[in-house]
Amino acid sequence: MDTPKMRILIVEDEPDMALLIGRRLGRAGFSSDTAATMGEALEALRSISYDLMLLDRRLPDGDGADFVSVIRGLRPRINIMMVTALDTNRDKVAGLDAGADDYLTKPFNGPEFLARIRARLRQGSGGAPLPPIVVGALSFDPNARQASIEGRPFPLHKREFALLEALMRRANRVAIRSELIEEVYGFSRPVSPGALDTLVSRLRKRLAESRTGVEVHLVRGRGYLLTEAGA
Amino acid sequence: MKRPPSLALRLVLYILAAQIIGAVITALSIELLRANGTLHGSTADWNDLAERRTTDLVIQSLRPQNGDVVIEPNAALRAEMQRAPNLQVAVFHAKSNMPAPGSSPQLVERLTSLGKIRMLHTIFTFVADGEAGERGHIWETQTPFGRLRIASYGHRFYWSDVFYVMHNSVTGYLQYFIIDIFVVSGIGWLALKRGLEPLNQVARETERIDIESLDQRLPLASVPAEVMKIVTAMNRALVRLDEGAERQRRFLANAAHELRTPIAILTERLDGPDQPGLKNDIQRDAGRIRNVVEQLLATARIDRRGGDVEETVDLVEIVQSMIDDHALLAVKMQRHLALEGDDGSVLVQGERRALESVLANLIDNALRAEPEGGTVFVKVGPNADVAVIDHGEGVPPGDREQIFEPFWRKSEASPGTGLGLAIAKELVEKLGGRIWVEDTPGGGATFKLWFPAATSETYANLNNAHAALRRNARS
Repeated sequence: MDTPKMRILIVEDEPDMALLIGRRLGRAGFSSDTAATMGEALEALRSISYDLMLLDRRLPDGDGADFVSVIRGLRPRINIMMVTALDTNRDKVAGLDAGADDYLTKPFNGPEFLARIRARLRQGSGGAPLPPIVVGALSFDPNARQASIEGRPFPLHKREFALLEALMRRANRVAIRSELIEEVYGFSRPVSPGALDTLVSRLRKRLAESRTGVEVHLVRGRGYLLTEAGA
Repeated sequence: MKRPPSLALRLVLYILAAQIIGAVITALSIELLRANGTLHGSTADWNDLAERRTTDLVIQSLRPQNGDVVIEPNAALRAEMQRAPNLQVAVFHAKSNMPAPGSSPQLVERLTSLGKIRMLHTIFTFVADGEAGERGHIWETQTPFGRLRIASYGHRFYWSDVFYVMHNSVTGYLQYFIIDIFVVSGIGWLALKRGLEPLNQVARETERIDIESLDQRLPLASVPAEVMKIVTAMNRALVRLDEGAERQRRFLANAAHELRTPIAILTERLDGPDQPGLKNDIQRDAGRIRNVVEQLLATARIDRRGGDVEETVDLVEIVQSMIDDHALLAVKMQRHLALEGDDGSVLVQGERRALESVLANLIDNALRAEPEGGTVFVKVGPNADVAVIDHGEGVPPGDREQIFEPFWRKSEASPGTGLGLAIAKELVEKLGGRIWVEDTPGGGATFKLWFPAATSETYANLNNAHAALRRNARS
């Protein structure tokens, strides 16, 4: 079955920036279109059902925040992420007040950018499936919740898998210890302090054995970070 | 704009009013003191004050009769005669010295006994009545019936004579004072105009001062003492502005300098052959440029608000997010990054982006200084202090002040170690905090930051901001 890709509209008047964001999204498995003005964006929204929209605030034909209600009128289910250089708390509150779902300030951190987009799309649960997250030779499909190495399944125990999923969703970013414990063990049961670290050691071993090219690093005081093994 | 009030006009009006009041008081005082006998050469008799009123009563009682004039005492004169039983009045024609009918025969007889003397204005007593006798007064004046000499004898002081005298003397004296009043007012006006003339010079000099010529001062020569205060205050303000502008110029030059170094390194990298890890290096260069730019923007933002920092931020949360942001970089550099300290909040007054950029700067420098495989620790203390600890070469005691100075560079051996610290210091101080460097026990540098704790008022602001974010962020 030819699964349609998640589709993202980038509204950004700086052509280089729009191109680079588009490429980054493409590498992460999303398809994207760009619009340089609010007018172009509305035109595109009328014809295509996008899952998410990255909306710059300073556009040649106005402040993106002023158009949120118009956009929602056209596409009630679309996720709107404000992406802008306006970065004071007041701007943030104003952007969210206007009805945006999230707010990112430029220049942004790439891995965080992708993680926030994935988080939005997971919650929005639109029609198209989320693209797989790929780190090194390891691929994780967030829809089927399956991990594979170059197409071959990567068998793991339940807890190891839960940990890998949590880390993959935050690839290249620090996964906070408390969040990992919550996602791996759940809220209900008390967890011994060393349990997570032991589990990480086991997962590291599995990742190394299977030549995934993926490493899990400890960030003391914060949590763990999954990234591609260094060249 | 409303025209400002004229000081000269006000001065002239004050001088005018003061002189008129002075003239009235002087005139009245002369009359009263003369009557009282205090004034040298005075006649010392209160009854003298009644002479003008009595004279007027006589003039009012004159009636024409057959081409001549006759005294026919009216009610007022008759009442006065009852009050002053010895009052005698007489009227003489100025030219002929002939008495008019109705004049007191005794007074006429006594006065004509002087024979050829024509009295124009005289106070007299009669020898026969003794020294303490009644007072007489004769005065030649213009009346509706021609020039007449009006004489009275035995007139009595009445309290209302004071006002009578006042009225008469003021109108009488004022003509002498009037020239004086105008001359003095004119001189006052002139003195003020001339006295303030140096201010025009000051104004011309002030017009010439702009951002390029803040080193100029206003001329103090010939500025009157009274306005010296404001001129010297303006000069002091100019000194402060000059210093501020100089600081800004230095800051700008330093900022450009701080940006030039990582850009030069970046350019060099791009020009060189492809090395393994080039991308990481370029990312780091971009990160440094971003740090400097963020710090500059934060500085400008705080300056625009007049240094007023009302935001309350959680230091722990900011440190955590900066560690998260640098964790991947640390991994790629084969160094470790660790957070130490409690999970609780440490609230300080500051500006989020400003604190983030300063911390990013310190963490970046520390990762650079840290030997491969080592760990950079970041600690948040409960007293709103942050320590960024590396185990590199450290900063020699002699350099610990200088590394925060603009344009400072460590010896050629490790260029750029102190990158951005001058801007970081400027920014931290604008936020009311401090930044300094210490030794790491066992070797290395420990950069410390301290920020003023949040006040209860700013706590409330933070809570409001959080509430707004929670309300709006659909998650």
